[in-house]
Amino acid sequence: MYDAAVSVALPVESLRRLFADFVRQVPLAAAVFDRDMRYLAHSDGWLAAHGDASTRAIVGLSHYEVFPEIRAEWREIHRRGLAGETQHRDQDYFERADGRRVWLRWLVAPWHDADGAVAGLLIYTENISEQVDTRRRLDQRESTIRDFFAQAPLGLNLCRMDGLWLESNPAFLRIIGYTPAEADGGLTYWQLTPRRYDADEAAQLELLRTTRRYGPYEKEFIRKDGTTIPVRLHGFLIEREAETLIWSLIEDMTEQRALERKVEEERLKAIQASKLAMLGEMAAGIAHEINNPLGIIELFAYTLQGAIDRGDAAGAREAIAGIRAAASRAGAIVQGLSRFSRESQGEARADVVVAAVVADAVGLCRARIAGDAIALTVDVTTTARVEGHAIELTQVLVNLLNNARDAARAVEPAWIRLTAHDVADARAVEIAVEDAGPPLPADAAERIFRPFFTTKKVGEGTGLGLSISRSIVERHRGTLTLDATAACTRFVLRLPAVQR
Amino acid sequence: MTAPVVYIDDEPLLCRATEAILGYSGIAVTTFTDPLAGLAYLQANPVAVVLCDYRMPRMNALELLQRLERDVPFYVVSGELDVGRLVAGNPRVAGVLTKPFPAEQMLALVQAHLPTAG
Repeated sequence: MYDAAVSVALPVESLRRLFADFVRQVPLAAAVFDRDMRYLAHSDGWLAAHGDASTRAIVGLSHYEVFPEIRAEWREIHRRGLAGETQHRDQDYFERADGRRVWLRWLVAPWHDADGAVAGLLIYTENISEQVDTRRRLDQRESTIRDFFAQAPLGLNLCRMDGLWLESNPAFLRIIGYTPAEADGGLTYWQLTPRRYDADEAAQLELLRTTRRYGPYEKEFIRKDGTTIPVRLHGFLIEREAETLIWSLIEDMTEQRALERKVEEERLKAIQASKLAMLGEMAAGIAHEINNPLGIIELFAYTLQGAIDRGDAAGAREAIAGIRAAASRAGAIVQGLSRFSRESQGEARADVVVAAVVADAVGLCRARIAGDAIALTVDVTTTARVEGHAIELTQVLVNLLNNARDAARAVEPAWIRLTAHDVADARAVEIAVEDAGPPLPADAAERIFRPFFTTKKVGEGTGLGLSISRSIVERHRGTLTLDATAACTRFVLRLPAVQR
Repeated sequence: MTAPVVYIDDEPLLCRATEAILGYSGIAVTTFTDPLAGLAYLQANPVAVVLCDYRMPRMNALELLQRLERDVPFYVVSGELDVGRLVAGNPRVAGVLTKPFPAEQMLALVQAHLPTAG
C-alpha cells in the first residue's frame, strides 16, 4: 500500500498538503520532528493532550523549548531514535513543570529521507492516566480486602451451597487447626460438623433460604486433631458468576465458654455458700426437730421395758408404735436435710413437682416457725411440675420462709401463709409467701434483691439470700418479686409449668 | 389425792410416753399439748412439779411462766441446743431437762418433788 501511494504521481504541493492534513487529523497525540527535534507537524490531539494556553504555534520550535520539563531519560530515548531505533513503552509517566504526573503509552520511531537516512522522529502518545488511576484504585481496594481477609481476628469462609469450601482466611484455619494446603479444596463444611447438629443445621439452612442470612448460630467444629471447638457463626448469601455462595463469619467461643463455665461455677458456689449459711441459722430448729423424736424413742424404750416385765402386750405395742413413728420422723428430717445440703451442681434438670418442693421446704422450716409461736398455714392446690433443680427451688422457699419467720415473730398475732396454685391457664405456677410483718417500703421492692442488702441484725443474715434466690429463679425462667400492693409482706415466685 | 405432776409439750407422743412412765410408777400426771390449756390448769390447781417444753406454738415456756401467777417448781424441757442460755437468769426456773433424756432422769427429778411415802 505504501508502495502504491508512492507510485501515485502527485504534485509536491499536494503531497505537502496531504502530509499536513494527515498528521493533523490523526486521532492520536502525534508529532513529527526533524533531526534537531524541531516540530515539523503535529496532530490536534497532541496539543489537546500536552499543550496549554501558551502552546499554540509550535511548528518550528524545539520540543525541549516547548516542554523544558522533559527529563534526561526521554532525551536519551530521542537520541537513540535518531540513531535509528524504534522504541515504545506501555506505561510511563511525564512529570509536568507544575508537578502533575501524566501517564502515557508512547512510541518513538525514526523517519527517513529519500536516501534512507534518519531525518527525524515520529512520536505517538496516548494518555492512560485514567486507566492507571482506576487500576491503582482497584489494586488498593484489593489489597485492603486481602489484608482484612488475612488479618481479621474473625474466621471468614466462603463455601458453596453443597458445603465445599472455596476460601478460608488464616483465622478460620487456626480455629479448625488445618494448614492452608490441607484446607485448599476438598474440605467441606459437613466433614467438620458433628452429626448431632444435623437438625440445627437444617434450621439454619432454612433461614438462609428464606432470609438469605443465618445465625447467630452456636455450634462446634471438629478440629483436625479430632477435638471439638465451640464457635458462633453468622452468614449470608452472595451471587458470583451465576452461582450462589455462602459467606460465613466464625467466632471462636472457647474463651467465652470458659468464662461462662467460671461464672456458672461461681454461681453454684454462691448458692451452696448461701445454703450453708441458711442451714447454720436453722441448726437450732433442726436440732429441736431431731431431739424431739429421740426423746420419744428414749421414753418409749423405757415403757416398753416395763410393759415386757409386766406382760402388758397393749403397752408394749403402744411403745413400739411410738418408737417407730419417732424414728421415721427423725429419718425424714435427716433425709430432707441431706437432700437440701447436697450440692446442686451434679443434679440434672428434671421435672420437679412443685408440691413436693413446698413440702420439703416447709418440713425444714416448720419447727423453727412453730417454735417461735408463729401460726403457719400452707395451702397447695397445684399439681404442676416445673423444669429445673428441686434442691435450688427448695432453697428459694426456705429462704422466703426464714425471712418470713424473722419478720413475723416480732408481730402479734404472728402468722405465715404459703400458697401454691396454678395461674395463666395452668401455664405457670405461683407460690406466694406472706407474713404478718408490715409491708416493706415501696423503694425497698428492688433493693432487697441486691446482694448484701439486709434488714436483719448483724450476724443474723448474710444479705445474700434474696439476691441468690432471684438468680436461681431467673435460671428457671421464672420471676421472684415483692408484691408491693399487698397489705402485708408478700413475696411472689412465679415459674413456667411443664405442659403435658 | 396428791397434787399431780404437770407435763406440757406440743408433741403428743412425748405427753403419752410421760403418762405411761409416771403412771407405771404410780405418780399422778396430767399432760397438755396446748400451752394455754396448761397455763389455765396451773393457775387453778395445786401441782407438785411442772415440766414444760420450751418451744411451742403460740407461747414458749418462759412466756407461760411469766403469765403464771403462782410459784411452782418449774422445769424447762427442750431439744434446743442452747436452752441453758435461753433460761439463764430466770429465778423462777428450777432447772433444765435437755431432750433426749433418759426416763430415769425424769423420774428422779419428779420424785424429788413428791412427798416421800410413809
